[in-house]
Amino acid sequence: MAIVQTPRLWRVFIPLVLGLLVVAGPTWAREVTDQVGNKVTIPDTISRAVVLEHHALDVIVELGAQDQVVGVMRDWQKQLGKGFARLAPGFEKLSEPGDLKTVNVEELLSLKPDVVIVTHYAPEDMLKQIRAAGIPVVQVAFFAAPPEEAKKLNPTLTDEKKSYWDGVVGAVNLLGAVFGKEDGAHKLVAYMTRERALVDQRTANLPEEGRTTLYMANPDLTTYGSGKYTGVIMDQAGGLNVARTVKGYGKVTMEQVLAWNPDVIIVQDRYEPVAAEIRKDAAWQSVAAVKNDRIYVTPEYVKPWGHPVPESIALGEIWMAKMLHPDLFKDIDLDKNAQDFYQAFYRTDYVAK
Amino acid sequence: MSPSEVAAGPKVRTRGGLQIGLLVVAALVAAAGAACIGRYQIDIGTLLRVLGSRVFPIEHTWPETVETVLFEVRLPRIAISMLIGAALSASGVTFQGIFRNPLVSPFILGVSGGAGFGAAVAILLDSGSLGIQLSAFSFGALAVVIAVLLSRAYSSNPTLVLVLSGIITGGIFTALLGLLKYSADPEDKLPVIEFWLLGSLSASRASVLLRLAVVVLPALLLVMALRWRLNLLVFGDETAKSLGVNVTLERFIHIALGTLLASASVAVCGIVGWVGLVVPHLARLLVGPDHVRLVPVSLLLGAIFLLAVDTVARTLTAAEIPLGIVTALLGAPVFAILLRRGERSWM
Repeated sequence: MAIVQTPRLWRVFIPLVLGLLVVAGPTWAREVTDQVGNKVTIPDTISRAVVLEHHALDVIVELGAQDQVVGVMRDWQKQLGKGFARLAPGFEKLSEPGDLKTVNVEELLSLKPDVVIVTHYAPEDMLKQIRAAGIPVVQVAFFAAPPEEAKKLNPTLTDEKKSYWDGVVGAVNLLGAVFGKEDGAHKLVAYMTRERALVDQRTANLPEEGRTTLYMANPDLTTYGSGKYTGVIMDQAGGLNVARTVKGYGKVTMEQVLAWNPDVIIVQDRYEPVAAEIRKDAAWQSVAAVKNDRIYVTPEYVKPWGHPVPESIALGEIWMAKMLHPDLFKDIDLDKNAQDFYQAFYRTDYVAK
Repeated sequence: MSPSEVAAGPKVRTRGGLQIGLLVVAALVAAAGAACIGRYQIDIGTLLRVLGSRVFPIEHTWPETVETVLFEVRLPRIAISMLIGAALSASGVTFQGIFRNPLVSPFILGVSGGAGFGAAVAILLDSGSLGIQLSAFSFGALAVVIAVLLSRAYSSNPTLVLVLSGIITGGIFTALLGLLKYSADPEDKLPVIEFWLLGSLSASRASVLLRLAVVVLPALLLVMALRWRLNLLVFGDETAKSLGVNVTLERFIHIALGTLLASASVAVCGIVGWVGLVVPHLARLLVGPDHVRLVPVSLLLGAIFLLAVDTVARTLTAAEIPLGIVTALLGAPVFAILLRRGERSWM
């Protein structure tokens, strides 16, 4: 008898357990797919996140989720520019348990995080350390690529424009899902979509031939070449990155810059002194951009970095497009646009320098 | 060579004159050749007319950029690479002489560690290329000063203690550099620091040439003038003293000159290894161990070597190839061959 009874008991018990799991499951865990293709199980509500990636920090503030952050990357102020602390009040007091490539696991554990957000090129050792401590890791890339390419700092992308668009939208939606801010994410994506469409539409009829050539002047003759968002934002504006034959972030020779002879030089606001250095360096004087005084320092929201952030697309692309083709964007008041975006997503004023 | 023969000093100068003459010609030919190539195409006819227009009244038919390329970028870079090649080799031959050791490089007393740290500080503080050069130069020299002071705290064999002190200060500065790299932004400041450490002459301008020449030329002249005194130090402290040499003072002067040359070079071009180690060996193979000939031959060979390497670094691709990588890739195998060939000839 006993031999027959036992399976009967199991027949009732197993569906019961399975049923309970199905019902109870979503309340304590869910699965998200991060931007290097890992499926990560995270708690249903995130109230204690540690964010070791600066683009993600920016998006989190834009989604209004900064109160769910308990730890930030070291040097976030340097990475995101001086103005960012104003947009993210409270970050200054937070613990800094790591950066893009390293983590202090003990300090991390003391924060009792629900999830850690890291960059796509975080070293394998760092990921292992965090996972071994039982904390789920979500990697953000801000570009879309197959997992192998997505882990590289300087990826090879077949369609850069699509890759970075899908990537930034993917990152916003992923972070929206992680932090339970799906509505904010939709609003942000809608804003980006609208502004991207405006630039696409106004620059649609520009000829491919004879485009204005641009050079991104970082310190010490370093610049961004192919595989970076920098080339995409220049292209969106109807320009052409002269350094597209260089892969990723690289250093070029002065002679090469003279041979390229860019029409316009862009300097990021975080490297403002570079503009003055170029203006007084005798070797630069015969470059068209210097002769015609077309060296532009970007406002803080442009962020034409290797990876895009939402404001690069929502505001930066229009800034660059208007700079190259003022007649096409006569009706656009950039300061007003920035004010609108800052009010909507940073809940504060835009302060022009 | 006997001590008395060496003590005769400058009288032995005539030998090796042919080699030196040939090397001077080779250096000039190399410089002329390098002036013709670069990422900015200039055909030889235009090149000669542009150069000629500085002396003769020739009508300007070329774009203004050509003049900028030549006079602001290419020619200064050629001159700087030759000056630095000569300076690093002179520094190497000096240090190898005073330490009586063929394995010594100009960086033995911690110049590279100090300069690397100094450059990284300046890069992190956004202080521009002049700031980077000054900071690298000062910290490079400072590392050696600390090493020399540290060595005076010990009473045993002065050269041995000096080398060990150099390793200690170099080690500390390298650790500090590591700390700075660790905290640098990997997408922006870190690549700049790494490019600097790998060595490059991309910052070469006429103004840089002027600053470099002001320091390096007098030091090179002094090394040339004092080169026969190195022959005395090579015999060791006891023998040198018996020949009436103030060993401590002369060693100090040579260390100061070698350090000045090395840190001024490193300040402009970053950490470029192997030149100061390999070139003196190559020179020894050509003219033997007598510093009267060894020093000028090293200078000329160094100038030609670094010019050749830098020409490759600046012309091969649109991106700049780090100089230190090319010198190491060329220098290490050459060194291996030299060791095999010249096992007897270094001293």
